[in-house]
Amino acid sequence: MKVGSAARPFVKKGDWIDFRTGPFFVRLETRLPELLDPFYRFYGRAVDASAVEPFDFYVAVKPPVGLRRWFRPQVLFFLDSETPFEPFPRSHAFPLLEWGLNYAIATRAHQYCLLHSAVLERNGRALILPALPGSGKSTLCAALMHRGWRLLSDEFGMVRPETGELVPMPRVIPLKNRSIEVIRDFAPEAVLGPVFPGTRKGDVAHLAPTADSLARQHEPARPAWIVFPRFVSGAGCTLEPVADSLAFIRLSNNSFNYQLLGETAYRTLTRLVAGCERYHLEYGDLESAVVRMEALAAP
Amino acid sequence: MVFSRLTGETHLLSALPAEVLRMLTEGEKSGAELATATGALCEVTVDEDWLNGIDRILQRLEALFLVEPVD
Repeated sequence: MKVGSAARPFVKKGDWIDFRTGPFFVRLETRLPELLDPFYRFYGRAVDASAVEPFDFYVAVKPPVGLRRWFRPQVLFFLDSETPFEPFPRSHAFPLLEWGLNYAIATRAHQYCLLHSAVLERNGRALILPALPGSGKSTLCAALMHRGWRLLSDEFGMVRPETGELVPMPRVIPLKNRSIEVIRDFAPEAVLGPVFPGTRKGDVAHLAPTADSLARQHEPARPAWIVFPRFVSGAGCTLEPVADSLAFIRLSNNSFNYQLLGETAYRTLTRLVAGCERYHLEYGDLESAVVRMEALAAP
Repeated sequence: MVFSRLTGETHLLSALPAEVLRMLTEGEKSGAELATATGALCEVTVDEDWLNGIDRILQRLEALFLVEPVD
């Protein structure tokens, strides 16, 4: 299903929008309709006109100065006064915002132990899917979400060191290349935005979080399973246990801020690994992988 | 798994080096004492090979800043 014509009943202050994503308050400065349209369609409910400073992140998506405002127009992402990325085509303003927010969180949200992973929840227990790009993490995450799992995040496993809980931040899932059609076929009810062709990660289309995921975005979850997924074209579906020491090493390598947090991250991950069942999942068929995960979570 | 507060690094140790390190957390010990204690634990004869093996483990642990010789 394509994104419908969402109304814009929300307050916009001047040239900026204040919104909440999981535990973070963000002030976004922009006037670009290419960004505002998908933004309101996906995140309209998260706009919070009552939010007050200080915000966790001050970001902007704006055209650069000079001729590139008009000739093959481009846009830049700003985090405070930093511009961490090269300019993007103006038509790719929304994917740029998404990558920019990820950059902001990965480089600044050090109150959490940050894993590069998808996280979903069922029956109060969370499934962590840590993976490298190209492993099929987002595709599996999207499929599980459309089988009733609650999405906490497709990008960040945010572990609160004090409690060991996973903190939600449900945002759009960026599906890439063939995954777009795979999810369209798997879940015809899925709400997908437009395809952005030829981005630096190939063709990208964003999948909206389910209503349940958004409604419960302030509800943390207890970790129960760590599954390292790997998509292998033509493969069957195997789920094999992973030793705790190997799981720890893979998670610490996968963390955005393990070195930075030092002993705090060590203790957090030690506790996480000890409290979870750990598996390696190799799959070539999405349906089989989903069935395996559902069996894992069966009461 | 061992985390070093000194270096901020995490080390994955196999069983024998981990046991040597654990024994040293109880207090200082010589290489010979460690060889005797680990030999008993592993039920092996403490000969020159075993002593050399423990010595190599101590050198490696020292290189990782996990142990240090006492003057």
